[in-house]
Amino acid sequence: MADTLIYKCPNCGAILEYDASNAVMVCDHCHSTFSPAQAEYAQASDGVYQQAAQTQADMEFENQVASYSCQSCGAEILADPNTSATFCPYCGASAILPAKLSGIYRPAAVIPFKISKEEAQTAFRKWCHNGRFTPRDFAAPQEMEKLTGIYVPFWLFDCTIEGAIIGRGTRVSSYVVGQYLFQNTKHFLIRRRAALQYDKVPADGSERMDDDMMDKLEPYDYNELKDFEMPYLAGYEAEKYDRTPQEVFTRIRSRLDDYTQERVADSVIGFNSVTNVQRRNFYTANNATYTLLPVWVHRYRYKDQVYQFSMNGQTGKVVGIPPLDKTRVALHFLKYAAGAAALLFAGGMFL
Amino acid sequence: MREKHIHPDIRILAAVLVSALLIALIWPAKVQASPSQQFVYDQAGVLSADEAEKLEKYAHKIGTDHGLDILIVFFKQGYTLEQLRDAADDLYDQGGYGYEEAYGSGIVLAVDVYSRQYWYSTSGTVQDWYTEALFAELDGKVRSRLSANDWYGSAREFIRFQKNFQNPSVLVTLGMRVSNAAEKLPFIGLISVAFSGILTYFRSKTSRAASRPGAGAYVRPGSYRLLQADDILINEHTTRTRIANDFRSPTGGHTGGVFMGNAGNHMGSGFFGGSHAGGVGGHISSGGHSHGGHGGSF
Repeated sequence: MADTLIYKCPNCGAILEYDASNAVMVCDHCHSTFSPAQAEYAQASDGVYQQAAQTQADMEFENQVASYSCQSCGAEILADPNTSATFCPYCGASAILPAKLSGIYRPAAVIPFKISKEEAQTAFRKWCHNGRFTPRDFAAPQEMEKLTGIYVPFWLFDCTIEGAIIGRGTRVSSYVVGQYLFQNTKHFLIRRRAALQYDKVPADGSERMDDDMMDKLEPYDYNELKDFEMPYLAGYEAEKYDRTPQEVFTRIRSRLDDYTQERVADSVIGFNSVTNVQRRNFYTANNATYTLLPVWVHRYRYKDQVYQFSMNGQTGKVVGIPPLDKTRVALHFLKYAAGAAALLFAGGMFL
Repeated sequence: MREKHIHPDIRILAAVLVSALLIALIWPAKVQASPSQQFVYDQAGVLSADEAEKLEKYAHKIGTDHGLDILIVFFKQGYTLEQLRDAADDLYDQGGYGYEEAYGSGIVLAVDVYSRQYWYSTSGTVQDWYTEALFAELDGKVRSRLSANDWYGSAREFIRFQKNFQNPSVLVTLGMRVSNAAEKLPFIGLISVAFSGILTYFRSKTSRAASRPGAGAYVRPGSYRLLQADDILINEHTTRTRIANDFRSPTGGHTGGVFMGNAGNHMGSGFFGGSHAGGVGGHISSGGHSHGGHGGSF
């Protein structure tokens, strides 16, 4: 079994959770608040890491499911192998799994949650129009409780790209002398090369997350990027990456290549036509920073299809399409039609 | 006893449907009332039985709603205008017409299809209501149809026009109002369905406008550096085309020629499809200006 880590209140020993609105660790029991650094310090000095023995029988099982011991109540927690922070299903305590956040899996940076669960639930209800057209239980309170704050693993790429263009261009001018029209054509070899620097282009490193959806949650405000500290994860779920920078780099290239070429092409001016164009991009410097970014997620299965609500946990940007219950849509259609007909009929009596 | 939960949507829908049903119940009783008097006389035989029946019902309905008797009579007697007027008046008076009293409010359209004369005969409060201007307006709707031998159409327009009149002694009942609205039912249905469709669409629609920012959002400000910009001349050629005889040079002492091309286009990202004809095929007008053109035979 792996280690779990929880943060306890230095005053009363109850469990601390991260408060996204105020960026502090809060004790629900004695209402004390601490900065993440203070909580980290208190944790280290208490030395409450708990090591449990791993049995041979667990080894195969752990390939698919990892189990942890809850520091608070001692219950065994089962979680996805990529999970690095979760909750104890028995006592509700948040459990951070330091082993999944160390070594190559230790994030360099994190953007803390700024949107609280209540705010996310409000946005969810607005997004699905209070469930007016969705299956009846979609916006029910018990379903809303499943809204989960997840720190999603992202790679932030810093790239320097040199874009090059080679082509043939013509310049044509015409003029009249006496009874003759002269047309002069000049043929050129065009060569352009320009460099561009991109900072912190994100690509999620999680197989489980829908790439398109994660892309649409951008942009994040990098001014609020912090050095990673484990207390930020308290009260949320977190995943470790399962796709390396090399694996996601093709997505980065597809985003940057075209734009770079457009910028280089902007410098080709004064030609009547340009043909035989060859383009190339050279990535002269790349650096990927492992970062956790906050996302509120809700998944719902309806008629063999999974519908996902995603919300940028920092900016509140929402992405996703809710399921539609055709019967409820038809019912609303009839209601609106009957209402409109009644109003028009009433109006028609006096016109 | 446990209270059964009914969804608010269904409650509203039920209330609207019940209201519509109640209105519908009132409406047929009014419309189905049959006329007790005859209002359409087709002595010229220009209306079909079906047309005559429709006009009869229509005249009865509008007359009841608006408080006047509306008569239509077609003659084939070759009446003069005076004779026609007298015939219309006689029909009205001798028939005991008039809204709720003999010689009361009413109007007659008398038409002689042989002499092609027509006459509006008014009585009671209708007589006071009709001004020259209103008669002219009525003429505009009826006379053109009479000219076209559209007997049914002219009679219908005549009846319809009486909706402008409202006898103050008539109590406008709910049934009359419902009947009025019921005439517009197809229109109401169409508008309601269209409105409902649009409303349902927009209320159920979730904004799909969310899109990821372009790569430009991640460019470090001021990082763009143009490292190389070479335009190397490979070759050059000039063609000479004799201009037709009726073409003239733009000015007398001109030495440098007239520049006609345009090689200064900014190409940007869309430059690959761009080309410029350079004014070939143009001519110089007497004013000295260059013009383009194209022609051929067919």
